[in-house]
Amino acid sequence: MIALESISRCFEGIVPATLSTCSAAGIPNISSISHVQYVDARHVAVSRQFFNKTTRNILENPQASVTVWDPMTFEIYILTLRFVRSETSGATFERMATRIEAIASHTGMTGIFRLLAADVFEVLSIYHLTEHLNPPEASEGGDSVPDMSSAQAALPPDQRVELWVLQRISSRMNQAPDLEALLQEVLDSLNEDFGFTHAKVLLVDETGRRLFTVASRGYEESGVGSEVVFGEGLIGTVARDRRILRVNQMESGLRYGRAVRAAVASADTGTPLRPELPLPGLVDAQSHLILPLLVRGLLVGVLALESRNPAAFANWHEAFMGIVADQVAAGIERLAVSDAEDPVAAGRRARSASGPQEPPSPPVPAPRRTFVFYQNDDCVFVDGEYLIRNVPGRILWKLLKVHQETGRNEFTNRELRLDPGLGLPPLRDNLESRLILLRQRLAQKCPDVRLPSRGRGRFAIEIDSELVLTERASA
Amino acid sequence: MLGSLHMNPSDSGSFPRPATGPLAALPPELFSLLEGAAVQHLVTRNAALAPLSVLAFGVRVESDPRNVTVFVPARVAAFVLENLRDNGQMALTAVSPPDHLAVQIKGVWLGERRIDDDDRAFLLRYRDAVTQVLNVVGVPRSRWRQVAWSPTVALRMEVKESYVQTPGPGAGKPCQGAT
Repeated sequence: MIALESISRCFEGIVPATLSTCSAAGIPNISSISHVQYVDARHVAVSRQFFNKTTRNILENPQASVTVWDPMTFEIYILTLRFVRSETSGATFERMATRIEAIASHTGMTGIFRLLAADVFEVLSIYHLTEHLNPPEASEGGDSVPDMSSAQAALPPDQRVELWVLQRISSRMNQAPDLEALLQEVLDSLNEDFGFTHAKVLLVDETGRRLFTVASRGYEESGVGSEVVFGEGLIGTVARDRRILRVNQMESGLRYGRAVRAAVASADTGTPLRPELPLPGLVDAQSHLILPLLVRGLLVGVLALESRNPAAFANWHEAFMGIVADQVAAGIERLAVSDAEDPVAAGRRARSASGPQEPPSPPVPAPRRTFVFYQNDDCVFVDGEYLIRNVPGRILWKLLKVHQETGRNEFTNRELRLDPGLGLPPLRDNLESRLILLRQRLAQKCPDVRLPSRGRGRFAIEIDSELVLTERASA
Repeated sequence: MLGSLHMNPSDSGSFPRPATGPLAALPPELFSLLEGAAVQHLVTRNAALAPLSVLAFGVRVESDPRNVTVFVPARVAAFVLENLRDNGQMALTAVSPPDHLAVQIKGVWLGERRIDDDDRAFLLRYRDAVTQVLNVVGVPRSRWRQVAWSPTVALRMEVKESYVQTPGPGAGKPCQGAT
């Protein structure tokens, strides 16, 4: 029999798959299905969102067949199936539920469009149908065929050995002196070693109910500082459920979700529908692989990869990138909780500081920067433009005020942690990640104010402008 | 925009929506899927009640509105005919890929018939309409044209029941006379 794993790219095809069943009375039934879930080498699962004729039929007569289309070749595979069981919990159910709930969230149907059960079927045989196709013609049509090769999209041609790239990213992370460097190394390695050109890391904020983007690669706008609420959209669903989510043929999935939404709306059930969420990141992304970053079962963040290739991520990527995600999570945890000065990093900085210096630039007039802190929502604006809020906003305001009042320009993480006014939680305060976010927002909006690191647990404030600080109760 | 992609039967040289019979209760947007730009699959079953589906190339309503002709590629017709000769049970689903509007009709086989010039013209229009609508969702035209559109077998079907199959709470709802 053809190996199920080898045709898994057909399970999320552009042409809708069909599930055929037959009642005990001998009446056949056929319905389109959004996707087929690979379970193991002998089983697949089909999602059940609604009770219907298909459900009744498989309970009466377990024989079924699924027809799927290869999105690259348009060859057809007919899977002869026998219904085994319906699952309403467990790994298969939860994987399918996460995918469906993510689509539901994006199409404004959280709680309305949801998985009732994962119907698991044994695959008895696979028929590979090519009789419906003519031999390919050399230059008909004139339109290009999109690259849907997951292997090509995933790994550069000269770096296909999975262990090699794992070793490479592990080594790069291991050498990172601080969290900011670690995140840079992770994103660089994902791009250079793995071939994933669009990626971002989000970390959990102090509320424990939101994520904020702390680093990204491959986007015109970095998106650093953008927030995602747990449970909202693809990334929010992964954060809430703490499960890997892989979605290929994203547009197809959204179309299916929109069809349900339209049906719910026209049924006039009185069910309130929320507006569809904009997709984060690439507006034309066709594939997503989103991984929770977990340490001892606790979520520290999310690693989100996306691609314009509709089949960029294969089944095996979930396990493979799951290992990477565990490494990244452990690295974040290691570097985010330690305030101790790193002698290696300190030595490197000392050597760097004593190296050749660039000739001094001619003096330029210092710009004037007006910072406003709004007390009601801990929000900081610079020159009338939003800069940052919450904990990073309070940190920035403290630093600016201390610097203006005392002239101090060196600070430690420890003193920030001990300042009750900043509202850092006693455990897992993510201070390092807040400082990274703050640095990146300053670099984007106000590059003449900087917070360079002075070794692990220490940093400076450098200001090349004249500051005007104003504090207001509210906007 | 999506509405304009559903081929209008009145422009296709085919029969308008019947006034009586199982197809009469189909909403216009679902009826148009049968003769229009929708991906279609025909399912039959063998003596042991094992179902099997194959690609279909369009449905034409006959002069008796209870009956339709379903076109399937000749190269896969053998799978279908063996089952139909055994028991005659057949069902067809038509799905519009851009918006997942879907309909299912169920009925019994009445036999084969010869394909005429009107059928050939219909099949060309159907091919072009499906090629266009699949291109909207990202299928290159060259890929879909690779499908062997000819020769084609015409299977006559008496429609007994029709169902809404658009995903959602109404999926599976009978349009008329279903049991």
